[in-house]
Amino acid sequence: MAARSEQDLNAPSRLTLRLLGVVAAFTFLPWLGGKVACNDPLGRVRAPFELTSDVLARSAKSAGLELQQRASSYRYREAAELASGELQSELLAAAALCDAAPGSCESRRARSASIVTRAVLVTAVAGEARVRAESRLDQQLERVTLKLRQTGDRWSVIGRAPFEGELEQPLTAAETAAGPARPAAETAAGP
Amino acid sequence: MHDSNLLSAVLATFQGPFDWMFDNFLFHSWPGAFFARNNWESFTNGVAIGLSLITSALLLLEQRARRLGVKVPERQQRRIGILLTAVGFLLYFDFFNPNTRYIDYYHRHELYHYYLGSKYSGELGYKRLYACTAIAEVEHGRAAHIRTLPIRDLATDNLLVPTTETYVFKDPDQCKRHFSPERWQAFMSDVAWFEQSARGSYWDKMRTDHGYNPPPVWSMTGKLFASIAPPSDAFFKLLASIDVLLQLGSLLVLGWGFGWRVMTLAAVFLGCNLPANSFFTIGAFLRQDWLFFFTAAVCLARKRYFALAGAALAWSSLLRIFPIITFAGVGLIIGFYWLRHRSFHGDHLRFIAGSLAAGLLLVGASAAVTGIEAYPEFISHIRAHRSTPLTNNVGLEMILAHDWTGRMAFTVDDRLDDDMSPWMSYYTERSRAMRPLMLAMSLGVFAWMAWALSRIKRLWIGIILSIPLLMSLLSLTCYYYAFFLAPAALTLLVPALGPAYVALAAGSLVLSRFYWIDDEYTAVSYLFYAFGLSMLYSVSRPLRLDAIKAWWLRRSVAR
Repeated sequence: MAARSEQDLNAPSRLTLRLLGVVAAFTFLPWLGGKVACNDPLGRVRAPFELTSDVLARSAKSAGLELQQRASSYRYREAAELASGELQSELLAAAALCDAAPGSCESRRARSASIVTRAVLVTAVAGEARVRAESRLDQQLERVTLKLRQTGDRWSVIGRAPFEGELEQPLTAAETAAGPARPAAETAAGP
Repeated sequence: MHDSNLLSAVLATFQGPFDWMFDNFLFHSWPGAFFARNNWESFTNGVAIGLSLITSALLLLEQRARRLGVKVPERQQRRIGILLTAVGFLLYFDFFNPNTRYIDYYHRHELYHYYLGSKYSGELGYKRLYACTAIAEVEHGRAAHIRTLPIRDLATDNLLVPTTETYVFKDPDQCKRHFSPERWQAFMSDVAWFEQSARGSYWDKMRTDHGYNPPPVWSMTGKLFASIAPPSDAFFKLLASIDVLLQLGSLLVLGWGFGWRVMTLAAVFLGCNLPANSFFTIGAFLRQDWLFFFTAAVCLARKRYFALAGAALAWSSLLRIFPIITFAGVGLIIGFYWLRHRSFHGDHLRFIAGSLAAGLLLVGASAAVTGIEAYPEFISHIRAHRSTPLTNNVGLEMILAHDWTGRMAFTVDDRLDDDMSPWMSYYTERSRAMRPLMLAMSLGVFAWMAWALSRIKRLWIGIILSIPLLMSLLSLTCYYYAFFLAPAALTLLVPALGPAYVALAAGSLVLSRFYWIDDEYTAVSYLFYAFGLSMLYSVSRPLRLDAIKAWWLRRSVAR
């Protein structure tokens, strides 16, 4: 048989090579992307992203934790977004005091990244919840108990009172009775 | 009593020679480090990539040998083909190594949803499975534990919420009023069995999935099987083995319809691809019935059993809904014929009649079994489910909705009850914003499909060439990409497609190296979508400007 050129032979055909090329390209390029970019941040600490108050308000624990973090950082206006009723008014009043004399508030706000807050959901029954939270800044420790109410899919904090004890302990009678109040530590240190 | 007699009869069929296989080989750990899960998975991954690339290379060699006039005996080719088929099929099941699968093979999580969901479909509907399970557990004395657990709220927004926020404790009658006292006792007993067999965090997380979602036609057959016997290891092994037979059946029916070559390519694809691998569906209960009917529809159409082909496609569509899109290709072929002849072809009429008859029969029978209200409830439930994006979805929507900012890497937040909710919100917003583009692209794909099918008369090609449209319109969970078995048949029409088709499986496995699931399935979406369009490209006549001009001139002269 006479020797045939590759062009005559046409095997693999151009179409075969094109189709293989598509599969190879759509395998190799994403694989490369994964290698150099998508999988790369695994070695680094991920920066926490901002969550809106609306998203945080969907769960009692998140709402309570975030309000405590904001209030303890003297970001009262932002804390008020997660509160309602008398507590909201109190927080807005505190925000107004901060606006009038920003010095001490600004210095506290500057350190907000160092304030570490954790929270525990104690009860959540029939649209009412209790959350305990503690905020720590250096050696200062503030523990509060928060009362929350659900409206639609949104939780808001309606009461905030100081709490002595461990976060994980069972609900106390005092907590059940406690109404809206501001922690003493905050009154002393804040505006 | 009747149930247990039937179960005994069914189990009796597996006595004797099967004892060794079932009790010793398939369900006891294989000894040795090589067979340990991690080592074995690395091995099977390597085998899968190798198998698909070798098959691709063999196809290239075969095509070249044919052009060179070198004759390879058909018998030898068939032997190689059958060997590759067997390896591909076994590879899908990790060669049935028990170390890589669930204890006793069956998937408890799946069986919990599908066995209980179908057996009590009348009482649970689509929204009460998790809540009723929690209530049954509370009645079993586990209230204190249940209070601490989250639950997916299927009745409202499909988000994870503390169980205390649902009606489980406030108003359990919202569930119980749907049960008769006897049925509630039976349900309690079944839940207790599942709790004992899956105790621990596995069981606790069972109620955080996305509920029971199959259409009423599936519920009908599911209920038929699930009602045979109460839960037990032996019975669930049998239920789980149905899928193995259905998958084998899908391959064999392709062999019957298109010959051993197509069966081999489909088996290699099944065993080697990533999205439709066994990870999510192995050991499940009737998860592959739609696939069997889908492949059967393609094969029956090729064998000219048009009424049965229509019936099979209708059945597949009623089992999982999405195959209904593949009627589009058939519709185009029928439509083009009608435009040319102003009448319907007999084959087309048979296909339509088969589809309609099966559709009416199945909808009627399922409504009788599950209740007519099951249909509106299913539609409302599936709407809610459709609006809940999943990270392992594959399709055009995933391609368009996924961007750098919204990646799981940046949006998962462990501080939330549902840590995925920011990802879901971002995805939903972005897919909504991208909808016009998605629809425009789908329209483009439909036009391309019409162009490709305008000169094609064979209905089975219409079913297969609808796949790119299916990928454009719907974002499907990865395991439904088993419908990619059907394009193996297209290699009969376009042999050039064969090597790329099996290489596609290897390519998808390479993409499993992504760390974040959404990244991985977006990459898989790109790959499969590109291949889907390549299928259209390979079948279409070239669209050249001079050809369009000539067609336009002819049209003007005719006027």
